[in-house]
Amino acid sequence: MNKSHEFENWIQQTADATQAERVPEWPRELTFRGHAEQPLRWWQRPFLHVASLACSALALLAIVSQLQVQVTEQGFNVHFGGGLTEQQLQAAVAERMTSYAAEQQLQMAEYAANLREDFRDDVAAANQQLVSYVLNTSRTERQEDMEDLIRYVNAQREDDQVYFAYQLSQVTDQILEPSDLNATPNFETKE
Amino acid sequence: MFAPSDERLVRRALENNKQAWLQLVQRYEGLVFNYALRMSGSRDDAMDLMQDVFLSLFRNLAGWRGESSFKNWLMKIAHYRCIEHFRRRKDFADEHDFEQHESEHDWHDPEAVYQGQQRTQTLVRAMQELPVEQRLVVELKFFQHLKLQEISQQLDVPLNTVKSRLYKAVERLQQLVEEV
Repeated sequence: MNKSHEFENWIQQTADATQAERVPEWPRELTFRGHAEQPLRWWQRPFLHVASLACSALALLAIVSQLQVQVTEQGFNVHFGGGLTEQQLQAAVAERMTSYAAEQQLQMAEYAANLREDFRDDVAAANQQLVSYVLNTSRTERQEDMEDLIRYVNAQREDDQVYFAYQLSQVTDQILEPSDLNATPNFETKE
Repeated sequence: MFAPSDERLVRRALENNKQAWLQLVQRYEGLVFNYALRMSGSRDDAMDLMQDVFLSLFRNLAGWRGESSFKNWLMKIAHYRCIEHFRRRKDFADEHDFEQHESEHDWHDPEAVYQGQQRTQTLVRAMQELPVEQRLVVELKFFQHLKLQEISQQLDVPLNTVKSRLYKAVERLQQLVEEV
């Protein structure tokens, strides 16, 4: 046992003292079995078939799951599963029609009210215009009549003044001429 | 200047970088060559074995996941290739005896292998008389300084088998060395 242990030590010492051999030149390149082509960049890799497969799978999924996409004012809704039955469709149409009719009725009532109010305003404006026209016209006519009357009166007065002046001059002449003292003065009045 | 790690060289070699692969080969060729030399006792066989190991290593490079160190993984491949090499050579020698004689003749000129190291020559020559499994255990225990448990893991054999092989190998070596 002891001898065996000693021999093990001898082996270990011999192994430790062993100088490593230098490796002779050898064709290291031959161990390299590289690929002929350079690896493609990620944007050059042929992923078209994978993309087409993915698109087909998506299309199939959309058809099988009866995918529905609805665009609304708030965004869009995605629905999966079956569509509406005929009864549900009728109910939805009836509901939509009812709400549409109510909305239309409201709009019509509002339109009629507006129309009446507009007509009333138009008639009032027309009456006011007519009254002011009549008033203005009658006032002008009265003014013209009065002016004509005053002109007539003035003209009459001027005629009277001329007549009286003539009468007065005749009287004056009769007074101043003595030959005619016996004579009876003629005081005729003009009609 | 910092040498690139084994992991980095392996990764670059897998990306078809020849320089990285050659750097990896040059880093470990001495280890593999001397291992093969001690196992085979012949320069030609050692060269063949080394090339075989590196070819096999390149083929399986993608299989290294880093669970063990690269060196351990490399040496595990070397052990398998070595065992395979000796099995092939045995089959071949059965059909062509002269080749076996030539190989043995090569070793019987030990100065050509380990010049000036008398004890090493004696030991390595005696190792050639052992079965390859026992020779492998001696190589791992005394030249690569592995513990018995590590040898068991490296060779994928039970610990008791390793102990048994080592015991028989030492006993036989002692006989052979004392006969000289």
